[in-house]
Amino acid sequence: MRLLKTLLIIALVTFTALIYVYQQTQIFYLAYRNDKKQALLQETIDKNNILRYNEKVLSSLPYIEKKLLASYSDFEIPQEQRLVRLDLTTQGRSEFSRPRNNILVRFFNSITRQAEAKPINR
Amino acid sequence: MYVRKFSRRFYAVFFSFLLIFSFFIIRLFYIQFFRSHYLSQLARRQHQQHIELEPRRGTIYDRNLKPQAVNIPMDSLYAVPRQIKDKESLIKQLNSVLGLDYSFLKDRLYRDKSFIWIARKLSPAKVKEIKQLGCKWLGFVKESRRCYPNTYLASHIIGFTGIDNTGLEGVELKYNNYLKGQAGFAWLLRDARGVKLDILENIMPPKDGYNLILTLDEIIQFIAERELERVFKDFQAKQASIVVLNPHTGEILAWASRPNFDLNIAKDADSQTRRNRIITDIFEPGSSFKIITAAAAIEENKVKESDKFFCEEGSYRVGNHILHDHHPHGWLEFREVIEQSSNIGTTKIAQLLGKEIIYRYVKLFGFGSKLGMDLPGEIEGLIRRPHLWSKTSIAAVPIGHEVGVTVLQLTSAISVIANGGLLMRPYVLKEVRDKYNEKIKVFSPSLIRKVLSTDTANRVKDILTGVVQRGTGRLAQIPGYKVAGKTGTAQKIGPDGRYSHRKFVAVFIGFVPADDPAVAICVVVDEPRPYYFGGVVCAPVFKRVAIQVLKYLQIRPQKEEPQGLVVSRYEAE
Repeated sequence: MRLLKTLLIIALVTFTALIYVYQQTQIFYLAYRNDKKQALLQETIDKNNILRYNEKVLSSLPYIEKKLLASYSDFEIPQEQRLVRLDLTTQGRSEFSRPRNNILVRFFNSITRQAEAKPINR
Repeated sequence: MYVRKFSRRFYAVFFSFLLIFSFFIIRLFYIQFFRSHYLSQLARRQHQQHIELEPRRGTIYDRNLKPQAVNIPMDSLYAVPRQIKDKESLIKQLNSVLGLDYSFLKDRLYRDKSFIWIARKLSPAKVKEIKQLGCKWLGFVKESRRCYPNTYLASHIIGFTGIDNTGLEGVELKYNNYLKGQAGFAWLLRDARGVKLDILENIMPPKDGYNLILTLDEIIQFIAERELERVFKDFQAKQASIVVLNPHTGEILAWASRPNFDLNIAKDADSQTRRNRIITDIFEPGSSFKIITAAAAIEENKVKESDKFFCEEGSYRVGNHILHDHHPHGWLEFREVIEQSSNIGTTKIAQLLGKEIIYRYVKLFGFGSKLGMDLPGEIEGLIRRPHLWSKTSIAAVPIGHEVGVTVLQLTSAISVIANGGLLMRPYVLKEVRDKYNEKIKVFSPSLIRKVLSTDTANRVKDILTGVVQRGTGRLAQIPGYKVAGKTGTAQKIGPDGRYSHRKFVAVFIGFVPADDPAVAICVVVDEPRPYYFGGVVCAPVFKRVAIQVLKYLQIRPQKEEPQGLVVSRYEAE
């Protein structure tokens, strides 16, 4: 009876020790894996940061000016009346997204008795 | 029987073991109680690694949150010279990849050290090339580098940092405490090979630096820089500066000087180029200073706009000195004296006021003392106390000689007229925000003092409008807008201590629209050639900048067209 108890205790202690060792090895295994992924992630983040910076440089005013000067463009801020504003209201958009008919319908629609002209400047 | 027979041997063995055992007990006791600290430290050093966690330096934005200074991660190269065997071949390889001096590399790699920097903050392409060398005794440490996407834009105001990301000039220096953040640390586990593992034993995360939002506007800054560059090159000037300011608040909208430098390679620029001349250099403002005399005369109720002064047909003796006007004038009304920039007329007004009053108003306008601008290096300027004035000083100070002013002081002075008589403290930092965009501190406009009554300011404003409409500043006229301004042309003092007839400083200060000013602009060009009048060199710069800025700020033109629009470009002042 006493032997059985002792064996049980030894088994329990051994089992606990093994679990502890297994846990430790897993921690290190995961740490190595994490290290690799972390490095990969960091590299990607760094690349992203550099690309973002490059984007900022390319869209910066001194760079744009340099490009415009290289192409001999005499750029200036346009007068308000020279600005073209797109009509983004539902009505305005419907002008661009008119449903397309099939070829046959479009052919017959194009046959009209007189020339049609639409005003450009509304 | 057996024990008794061998009792001696038994005791000998017993005592030997007891002795050895006692030795071990004592040794263990010693280790446990006297050496434990040292040994546990040693073990910790072997199993753990202390790393410093670098905080992210705050970003600098303009008023529309466009980044002006950002951080980019970069790799820095180090070597372990003690372990490198074939040093000569490594030196040759590094020499070809990095382009570093042979002697520099030799000096570094032949030292008996386990860590030495080879090159800091390398580009990704260089890092790739070095990694391809496959030398295991070369390593990289991640660092962040301060980068400026707008290269030269607002270089004197933003400033730059050193290799360790510490601010050295401009906003980077002044607000280094906000920007730098606080370093953190972490204790990480190391395996048997000494390889770092991401198992944290202890961590104190770094506190990132705060972001700064400046009052500068990138677009206005660009416009100002572009026009300044043009005048700087066209007139082969020695130096040039421009300041665009909101006269109601004192917010700096643009700030540029020539020569300037690229912030990304600031170390290559010489110290003269890096000087923030707008606040560190003084010059004699010439006729632009007449606004102080005019304002003082009106505020003290000594003259009216219609009062007449005889301008002596161009030459007038004061003490031992004969004062001249550029164009001889006879009788001129007070407003015409300023419009035509008559030195003799202004001197006669100053003589009416007396030197004490002139001095008091010069000081009230902020000359001769720091304005308290939030940038490093601001100087006070130069104005002598009245008891130190010579007999001719009364003919010199009121027309902008014998005084030393900074470009910023002159801009603030014109703002006083623009905003109705208030001297506002110019400032460049608008807000401090943390990384979550929460406001930490907001800087609001601050009034230094009230200099003039609103009525006086408006009357001076009318006179300055006349300067642009009919006087010396006609090249600053903007169709559709009412412009107020004053030209100035000052002779520079030569090495012999006399006023030079070849070297001049050209000035134009003004604001627009005159009735409700949106911007005050000061343009100063040092030693322009061949033309040197403020009204010829600087007024067109003012005009070009103002037109674009008004368009950008969407300030619609007033209906009334200005009178007498000038077509010819080079009309003498």
